[in-house]
Amino acid sequence: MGDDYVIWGLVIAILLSSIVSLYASSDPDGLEWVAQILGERGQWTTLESEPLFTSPMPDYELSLLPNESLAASFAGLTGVLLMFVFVYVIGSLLEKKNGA
Amino acid sequence: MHIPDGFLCTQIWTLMWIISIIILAYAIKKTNDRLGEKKVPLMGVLAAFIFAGQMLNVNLVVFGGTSGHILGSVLAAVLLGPYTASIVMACVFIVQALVFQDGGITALGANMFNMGFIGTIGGYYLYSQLSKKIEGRNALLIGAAASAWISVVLASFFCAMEISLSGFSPLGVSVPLMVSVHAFVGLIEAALTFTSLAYIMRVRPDLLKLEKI
Repeated sequence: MGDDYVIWGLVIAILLSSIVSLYASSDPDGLEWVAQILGERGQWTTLESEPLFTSPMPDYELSLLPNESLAASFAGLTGVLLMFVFVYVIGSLLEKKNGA
Repeated sequence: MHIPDGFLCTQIWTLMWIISIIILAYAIKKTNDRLGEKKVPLMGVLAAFIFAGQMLNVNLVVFGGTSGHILGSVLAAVLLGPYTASIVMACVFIVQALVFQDGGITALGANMFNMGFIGTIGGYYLYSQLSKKIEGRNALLIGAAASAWISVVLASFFCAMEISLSGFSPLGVSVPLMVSVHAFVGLIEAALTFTSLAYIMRVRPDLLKLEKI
């Protein structure tokens, strides 16, 4: 690491995921919207399936926390840090090995 | 555009899993033992940034009551190269599905392909062709923005095809509707890709010159 932009990039990503995200639109996304519209017209069906498992933070909220905004902010913060560490580790595994 | 479980039939989601595993295996083979030390932190920051960006749904004024978010696949590919970016995007969708239940587990292969590899590989190829053909110092930005738009539209096309071929919606209805909504979502993608790259060009042009794998 040892490069400024890494810290700044992470700080911005954390601000986006844990604060700006609270103001993001909660309207259905394009796919959900199409499914809804076509569903009403009888032109869209889906398999009724139980989720295969329950994620720790479904819908980007840690529901253990009492306050909804706090739950969402915490999920955003965790997600960004987890993403960074996960990809950093994968990247390190693929890195050029010196000498060896 | 994250496909949840239950939107694809078994044949289609299995096929998409197989295609994505092959692409990912090839990407790992291409990048293994080749990534420079400067690329690893950039991969991490991009993954964090793309994850955050995908949380930010923007209201689409054109279609009442719908929203869209960025994908980031072309942005990642322009900075890292197609195979490195494919690995980063795959990691984003894995974490989203496993930790945040965004996108189904059965549909993970399809989601990696639609929202990831179409942009990182197809989009990167288009970007490299376009920016060669465009004159002037903004060739990179224009080529990247155009590819970003096309990658989102193509992703929505594939997404609708997969669902329709699963037998869950008539092709003639789902494809045009998905593509027209995402023609607008793609504008957000193009704008983000353009401004992020323009900013990086100004403050850290060296990051644009790392080896593209």
